Amino acid sequence: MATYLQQLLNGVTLGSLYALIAIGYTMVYGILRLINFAHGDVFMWAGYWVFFLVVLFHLPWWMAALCAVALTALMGVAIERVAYRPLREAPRISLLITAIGVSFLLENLIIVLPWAGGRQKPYPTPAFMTQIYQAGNVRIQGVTIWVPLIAAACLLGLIFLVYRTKVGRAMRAIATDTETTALMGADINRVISYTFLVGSALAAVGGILWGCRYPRLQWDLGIMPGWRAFTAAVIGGIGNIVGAMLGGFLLGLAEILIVAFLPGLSGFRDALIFAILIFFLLFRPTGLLGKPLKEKV
Amino acid sequence: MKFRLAVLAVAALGVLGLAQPIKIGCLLEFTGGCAAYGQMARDALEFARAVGIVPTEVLGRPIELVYFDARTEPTEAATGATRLIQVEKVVAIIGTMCSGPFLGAAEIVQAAGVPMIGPTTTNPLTTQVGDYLFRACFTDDDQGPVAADLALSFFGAKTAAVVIDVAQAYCVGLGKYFIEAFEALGGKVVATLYCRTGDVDYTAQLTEIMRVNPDIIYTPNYYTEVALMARQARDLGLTQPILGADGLYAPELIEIGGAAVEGIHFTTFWHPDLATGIALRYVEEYRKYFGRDPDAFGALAVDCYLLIVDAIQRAGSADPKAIKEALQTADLEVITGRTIMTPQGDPIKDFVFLKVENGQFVYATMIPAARAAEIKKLMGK
Amino acid sequence: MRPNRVLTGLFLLGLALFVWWGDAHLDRFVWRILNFGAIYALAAVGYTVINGVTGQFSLGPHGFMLLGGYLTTLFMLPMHQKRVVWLFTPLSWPFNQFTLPYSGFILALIAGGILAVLASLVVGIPALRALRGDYLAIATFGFGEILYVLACNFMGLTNGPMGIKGIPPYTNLAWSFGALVVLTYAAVRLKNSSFGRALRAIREDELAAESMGINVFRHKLLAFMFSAFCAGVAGGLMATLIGTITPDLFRFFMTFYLLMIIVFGGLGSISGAVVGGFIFAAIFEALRFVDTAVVPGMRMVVFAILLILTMLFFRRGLFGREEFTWDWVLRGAQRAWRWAWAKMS
Repeated sequence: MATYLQQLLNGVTLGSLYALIAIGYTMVYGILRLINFAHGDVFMWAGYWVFFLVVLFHLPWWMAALCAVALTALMGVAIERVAYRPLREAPRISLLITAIGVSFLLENLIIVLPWAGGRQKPYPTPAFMTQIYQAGNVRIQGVTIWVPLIAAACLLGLIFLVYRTKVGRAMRAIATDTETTALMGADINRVISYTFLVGSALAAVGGILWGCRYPRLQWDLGIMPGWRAFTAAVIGGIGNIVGAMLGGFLLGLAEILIVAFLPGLSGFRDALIFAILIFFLLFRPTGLLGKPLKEKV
Repeated sequence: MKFRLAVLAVAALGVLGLAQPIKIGCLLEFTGGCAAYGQMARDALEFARAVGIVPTEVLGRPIELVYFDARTEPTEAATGATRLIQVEKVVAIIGTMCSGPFLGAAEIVQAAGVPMIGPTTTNPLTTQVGDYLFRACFTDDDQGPVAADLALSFFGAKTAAVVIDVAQAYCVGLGKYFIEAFEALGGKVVATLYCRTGDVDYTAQLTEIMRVNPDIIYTPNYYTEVALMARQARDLGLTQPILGADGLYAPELIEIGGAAVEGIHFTTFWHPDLATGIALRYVEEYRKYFGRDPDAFGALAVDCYLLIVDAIQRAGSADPKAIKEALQTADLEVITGRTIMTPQGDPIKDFVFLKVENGQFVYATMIPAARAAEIKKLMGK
Repeated sequence: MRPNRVLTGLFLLGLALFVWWGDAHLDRFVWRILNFGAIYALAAVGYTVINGVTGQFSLGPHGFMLLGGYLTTLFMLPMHQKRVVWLFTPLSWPFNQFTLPYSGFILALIAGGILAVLASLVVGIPALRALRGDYLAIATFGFGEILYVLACNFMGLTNGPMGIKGIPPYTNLAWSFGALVVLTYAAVRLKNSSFGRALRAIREDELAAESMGINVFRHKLLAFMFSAFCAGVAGGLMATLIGTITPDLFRFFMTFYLLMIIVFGGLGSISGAVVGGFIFAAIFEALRFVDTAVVPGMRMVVFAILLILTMLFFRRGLFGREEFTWDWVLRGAQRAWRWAWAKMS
């Protein structure tokens, strides 16, 4: 029993991390119809920002974490501004190729930075995250409690932002119909910048918490979580924020359960993730919660 | 007059010719999965030459090192070997640190007839490609049985769980050799679990280990994976000893693993406490130069350098074929102790057993090379 | 005979002579780069047929190269290597029974191509029917990653992540340039036929093409199969050039390289893919100095920035969608001659 509970908690922790990253994919896709290849690398950079701020500038952890969220969010906005905005009118494929380029750039920048480099770095983890709580047979680490709580708070905040504020309304309007929204007088570019700001900030929260759970920094650490989160977004119905959260939790649980109960398959785990992704794209492209997308002719 | 001019010209040419540097290629991983090892090797080589622990000239000609990033990719290693041989005209190559890239370059090096020594390429296949390929360390088909013997005798373990990183040739090989030996010597492997390089979550594997409750956990993986796994194991309340292999000997193990890696034991090549002879000065100067303890990867890279220089010296020429022949009969006191090369390119080396204590790598015990042979005999090999 | 044909014939003759001379006498380093260039160009030609000409964005050529590379390896690996390389899981039937002599190399390459084509059907039939744009890109990317995971796990065939060593290095300029010339010729014929016009119609407007009576799905699938074949052969050539193969050799970065080549050469231009392949192989080596002089890894930063800049400011690439023609060269030569003549007089 204790084992099941333990596994369940692990699944929830992992799932909430995926949910935080998946939001960024889903919001950007909803508005730009772009699969932001670089999103996983933005997530990775958040962990490095904390590392830089703590190790190089000796900031206290909480201050470093807050600054890291801000810096990562600004980075997301800057990427959109420099690399994606000039291609607004270009074919969508050009946008995707640029996104792949940005992704490679972000990864390799880490490798050439003298204080990061190709070698792994230890992520500074605060004490309250590593604290162990014992309840009967179940041992719970601080991370396991804090990650779902912080994630839930962020997601509630996001839902408020999207459904109860003016910017949120503009985001939803653009996702439905860009041209009409522009005609109605909304500043499209500003709203898109906001979208990248919010998506990257959530990815940053995800990256910072990810570091607390798995305290290792490396240039490629964003790739696989990125793809899993993207799969989560597709499962939930891409473009749908609640769906991304749902997909994240489902995928996190599924991943832990597969490895726990079918250990023989753990070598194939990444293949399974991609098989699920392809399956959904082919047979249920709208995901579990998504509405059918209008084909733009 | 003409005659004197001609003599002068010949003499000048001779001097110029002699002063031509002898180039040794360093095909090392500065980026990619094995970046830590390649960088440690370069640090050690540069340092050893700078402070004069190793000779910087041989046969009256200066030795020049030419570095090339093998990026932990077999293709890049292959391109690198071609470039070093064809463009830079090196007479011998040090590298690579990992077996995968080494195999990528092996065929090319063999075909070109230039000797190459892998400082820490423990995969038994690497030197089988041909007679120009060497290593400066022991092989995994010895390291696995030695670890199994330690698990049984040092820890008194009867059952073991093994966690293998299936994305690394090195880990898969070593894991299999360990399992084979552990069972042949009377132990029982109760769980064989797999992970992949870059995996961060080991709770599923660890929960399975909790269920089967073995006496010891063997993880022949690289330092990051082991550091993360150890953290999660201790968080879950697993208290079994963890046994690892030479891939763990990097400062990152302790930086990332923190308190969780305390008490981890592993087999490796060398430890500064074992220094004798030339190595004493190496250790002392290294600490002064870098402010940290020297590591086995750097020490073995310097060993390769010494072996090549010694071979050139004994061969009396910098011809790659002559160097190869001299290397095959090398018997030299180097940083990691006495190295006796066999014609197959595999030296006879002792095993060192280390543990992590108070955030330091501490010497635990030493297993002579002869013991590895005995263990293999016990296994019926 | 038209003068263009004569020029093409002369060019091919010159190329054949160069290859014949180069295989024997060329500096091994330059020889290697030329081989890599031809192999990259070959894969890029196939890649541009599906990505550029047909406009169906695939991100899976690394998976097809992997299949071709492994199958060619399994056919050509000598028996004594087959016995020593598979240390833990013995090599599966039927590959443990036979090996092909050098004369069977062409069969092994074609078999690698055919295996890639079969795989392209597995992913292409459902995906090309249902998906387009980014979704197709993701599905093909996922397929490539799945193949990578399978290659790591089916130890009885691939020897897993340990890879296979001792592949006879049969690839030389004759093979790589030969394959490149043959398949480029096929691609050009394909592009200029009615089939190719249909592909371009699909790229411009799928709905319009469909309403004109073009069987869109069949055309896309054939283009995809052609690209898979090229990738499969390129994979086989690459494995027999390097002499070892591991699953890591054909990961996503390979597709990234090919993408750079076809984007820089001009999306949809076969000439661009060929020229781009050679330029890439050359720059890849030439830029090595930034890795040694500046900091290891800098080269990839430069490449990523180059790709982004190309997309932002130079989206046409070298050739745009145009092709190399002799007329173009002749006119250029004429103009240069006139200019020089005017300067002189």
